[in-house]
Amino acid sequence: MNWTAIAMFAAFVALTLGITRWAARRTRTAADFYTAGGHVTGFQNGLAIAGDYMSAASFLGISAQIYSDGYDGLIYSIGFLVGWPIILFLMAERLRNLGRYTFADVASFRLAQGPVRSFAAISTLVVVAFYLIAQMVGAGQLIRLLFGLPYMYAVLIVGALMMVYVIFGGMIATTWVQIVKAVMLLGGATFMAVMVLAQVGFSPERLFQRAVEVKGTNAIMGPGGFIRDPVSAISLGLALMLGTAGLPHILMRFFTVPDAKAARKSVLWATTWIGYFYLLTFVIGFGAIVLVATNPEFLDAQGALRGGGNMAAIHLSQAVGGNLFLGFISAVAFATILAVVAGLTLSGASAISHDLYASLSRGAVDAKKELKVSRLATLGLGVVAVLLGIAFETQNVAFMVSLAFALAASGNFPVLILSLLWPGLTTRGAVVGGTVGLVTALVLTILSPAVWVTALGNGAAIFPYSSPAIFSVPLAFVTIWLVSILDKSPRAAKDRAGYADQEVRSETGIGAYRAGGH
Amino acid sequence: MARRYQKGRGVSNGRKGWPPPRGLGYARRGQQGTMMDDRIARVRAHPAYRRLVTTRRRLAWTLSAIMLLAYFGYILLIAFDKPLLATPIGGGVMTVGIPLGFGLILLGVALTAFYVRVANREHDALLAQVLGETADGPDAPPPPPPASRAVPLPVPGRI
Repeated sequence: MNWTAIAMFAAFVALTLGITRWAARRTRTAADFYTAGGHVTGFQNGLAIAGDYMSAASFLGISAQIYSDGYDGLIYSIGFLVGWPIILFLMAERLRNLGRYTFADVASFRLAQGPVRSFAAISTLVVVAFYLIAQMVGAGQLIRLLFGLPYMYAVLIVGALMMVYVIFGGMIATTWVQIVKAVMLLGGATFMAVMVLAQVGFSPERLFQRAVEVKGTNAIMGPGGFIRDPVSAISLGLALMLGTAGLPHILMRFFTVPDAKAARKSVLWATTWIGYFYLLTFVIGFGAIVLVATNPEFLDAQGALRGGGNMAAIHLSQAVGGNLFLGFISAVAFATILAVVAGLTLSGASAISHDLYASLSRGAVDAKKELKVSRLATLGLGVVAVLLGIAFETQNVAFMVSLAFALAASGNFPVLILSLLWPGLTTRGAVVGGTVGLVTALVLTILSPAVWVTALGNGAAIFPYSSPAIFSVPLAFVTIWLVSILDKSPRAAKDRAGYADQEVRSETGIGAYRAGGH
Repeated sequence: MARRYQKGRGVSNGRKGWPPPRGLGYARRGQQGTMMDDRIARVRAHPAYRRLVTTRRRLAWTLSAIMLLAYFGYILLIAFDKPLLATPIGGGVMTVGIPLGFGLILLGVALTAFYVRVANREHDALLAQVLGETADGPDAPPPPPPASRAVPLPVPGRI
């Protein structure tokens, strides 16, 4: 049992429960629940977006990858970052001007509500499910290691706390938990990077030199075996970049700010924090090579990291800051999973209550009822997340975050961007093309090496590349285009005619949902 | 469908202006395409609006193109010429790839900052002009029925 870590984590939980109590009193309406009433400032939202993005997978995963392969980890970081400028230039302001609670509001703005919302909701739930599995399994394994708690307890704790945050505090609590965690993570990572650099007299060259000495090869200073072939390289690049712009829990954050100006400010802050974080991660990964790989205390008999590959940053925290700082970083890692899981669940719950329930049920749906349904949906998703976490305990889920990105890039992104920019888009085109993209990405991933060979234990992979995006994204775009131009239905005429009105609203914010009142 | 969301209007937190009289696809059925909001029509016809849209799009697509070219250029280097990125510089172990990679991250942040700066300075001024000059005034076309007037004019300073 790691008591320092447990005490720090308990302090974090106490703080977040306090926040949730405070938020619960402010969560009275559906708008409060889904989007914190639109009262989040651009700076706060930027931190919250960065928090959503700096998941345990990026903190522990990328630093671990740099620890083992060096430069290759940077390629991932860059891919995760470059989606943000594109989101700002093409989407952020329009999203805020057209949407209310979910990205389906925007995608279905001028299209038929029922089919487009159903597609968007299902696509959201699929992306959220894979992302959730990765986070829950990661949480269980990590917490077993850090806190000495059994896997099952860890998954249950994450599930229970997340449900409390979301059900009682809605988006207000979820945002603030995310902000607190983002500040803790950025602070902790900064401290680690500075301590590492202090060891080498603040000379990057000396850091790299010592890392090369430890590894005995300078292969870590350039791209290596992580990306084997050109097709995989481009495909992964596409998935990382465009997937960001299709992640439902990220898109939802654009509706928590009061207007388009605050939306673009949030992207600037988010990009700044995320970029800064990835620079720190690079230093942390190389620092781990120098300080962790040379210390037998952190290694097992075979010379591998104790506790598995993902522990590089955790061991480094002990190396540079002793047990107290180890406890802090362990608590931050737990908090990170918790906050990301809460955000994912909230976006899944809004898809169920706002897009499926409210748009598909017959008869009147008032906001109170919708709020109740979204809380029930949160409860349901929480239980499902815990069950999935337990079911996948022994599975290799490392591919699931990249699968979520590939699915978001192939399903949500093409529909959303074309609904914003292409007057010719029709309901049929959006639903058919989006579904084709989603299904293609899913099937190709199952047939790819990570699942077919590593997870399912088959022989050679049927689909030889590591990411499906290079095929599934263009296929989605072409299908949407083709089905739309061939669509001669009366609905299609309406869809096309609606663009002029949508365009003015998306450019000016006229008629945009604004949280006035209190 | 329309009625359902209209029903929702009564409980939209007492917040005025939601849903808008037309648009958001809710109350639009049956009238769409034939009678666009007067305000929307006035905005579309306003020269400053055309200027706003043109300049904003040009900026957005130019910056997007720079980001995409830089990123996919980098990815193509990884795909086809890994040794180039692994070339040492400065006589030590530092390679070309490291400043290039860091540079890409910084480029992303810089482009974002540039866009926000231009938007704050130029786009917002144009938008305020468009909204101000198309607001429902004395010489505006006949006012819509009271319910529709609930659309608040965006506060120029905040848009």
